[in-house]
Amino acid sequence: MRLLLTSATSGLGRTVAALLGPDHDLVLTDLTTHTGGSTNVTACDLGDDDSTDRLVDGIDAIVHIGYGGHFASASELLDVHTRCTYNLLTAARSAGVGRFVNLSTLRLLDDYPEYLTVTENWRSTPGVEPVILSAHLTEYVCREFGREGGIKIANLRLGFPLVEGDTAAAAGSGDSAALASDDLSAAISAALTADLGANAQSTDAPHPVSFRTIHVQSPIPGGRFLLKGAASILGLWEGQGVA
Amino acid sequence: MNILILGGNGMLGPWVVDALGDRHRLRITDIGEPPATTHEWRQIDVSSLDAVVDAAEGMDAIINLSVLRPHRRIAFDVNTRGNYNMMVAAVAHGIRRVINTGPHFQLAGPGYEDWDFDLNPDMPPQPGTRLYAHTKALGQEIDRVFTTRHDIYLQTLLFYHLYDPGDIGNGPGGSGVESLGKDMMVPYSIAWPDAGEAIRCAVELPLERLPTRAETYMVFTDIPHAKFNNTKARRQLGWQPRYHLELLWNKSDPRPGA
Repeated sequence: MRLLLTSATSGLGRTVAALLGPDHDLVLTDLTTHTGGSTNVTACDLGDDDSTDRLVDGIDAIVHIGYGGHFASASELLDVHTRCTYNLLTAARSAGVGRFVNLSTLRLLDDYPEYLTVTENWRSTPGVEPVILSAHLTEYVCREFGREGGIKIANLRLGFPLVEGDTAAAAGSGDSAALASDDLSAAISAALTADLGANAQSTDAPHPVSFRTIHVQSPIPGGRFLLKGAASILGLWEGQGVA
Repeated sequence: MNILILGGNGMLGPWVVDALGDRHRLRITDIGEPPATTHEWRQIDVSSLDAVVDAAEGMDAIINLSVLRPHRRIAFDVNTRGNYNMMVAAVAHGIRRVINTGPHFQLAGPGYEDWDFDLNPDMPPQPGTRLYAHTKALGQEIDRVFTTRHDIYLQTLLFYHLYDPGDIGNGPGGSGVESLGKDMMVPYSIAWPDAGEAIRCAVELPLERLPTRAETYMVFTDIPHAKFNNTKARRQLGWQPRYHLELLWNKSDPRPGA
């Protein structure tokens, strides 16, 4: 599968590239300001011009860093996460790109106390800090494209912090919402091909389900967030975690 | 009340200024040329955070009338980031009353309008991906999030077709002539003076009478289609439309003597 990865020179971008690189034909891209000296990264400012159209040409799926990318001012963050995401999705839908995986964050639900059984059916509670607000707005843009169809969008809310290694490493971190890099890799790989209509309320509808939010943290004992979506949509970690 | 108006010299701005009249001290701003006014005037770009924060100093309320429709980058700059700048300015200066405006489809997009009736302002937004609706909806969402973290009261007034009632049916080129009696109008229409008056009602509504810190109103005149519902604007704002725009939805002119 030919994948396009955005914000590829950011910390999370580099981690995701390393995870997906061995199994996919990976096209790395980032904004012009972040690609100086990088010979393997395609510079693109994700404008509403031909450069974004060329970027998505021949791409099967896009993995988009919707949270945890580069540090920037509030204005820059809001611009990248709204306008650039909109431009990228517009170009991708027109080009027939089949799937878009947005990497968001479970920090959008951080207000809820740990004793609550928080699933994808709980409303997110973003604050006004630019980083978290931008993640929320990226989801908003994705949701509206998903509502209209034409491209399938998996919105993965990632646990925190990201821990290198396997599930045991996440369990050993002491953080109840931790996500191991091995589990992140498994979740993204599954999201690239999963039936987003699996176990949806509208499964029997004639139109395909084009947008699903899925919580992704490692399935550790005492895990903070329930993983119902990961199990039912991605086929991961059935019966694991929390208890 | 000291009121900052953003986008105050666009299409709606002069009607709002007329409605607020001498009842308040206005600081009118716009990216364009200055209006003929006795009120204070500043030329600013709402996409400039510093300019908006500076303009809000000493104000008790902000009214956002700024809008940009066709250009992709500027639409996001104005309709989305402009709202962020406005809310940061409100926080910075302790301004508790913010009035935002936009088109009805930033809330009731095609997913609603193509299907349903009795559409009301308390539905979850479904703007879709059309540029104008989408960028305004993002701005609205930014505003809403700020009200969850700060003591700011947000009133959002949604408009769509705005008419000069004197133009309707008055010869070639008069707005509405081409649709007279043909029901081609989007059933969400209002006369400019009534739109300005609705914003005055919002400005002067005591904050303690607002049920929540984020209230939205569908503001249009009384029309028989029942596609949208303006009850909340009438009841909560105490607003009454003076112009009913009958020419837009009658087969013949129903006015006495016509």
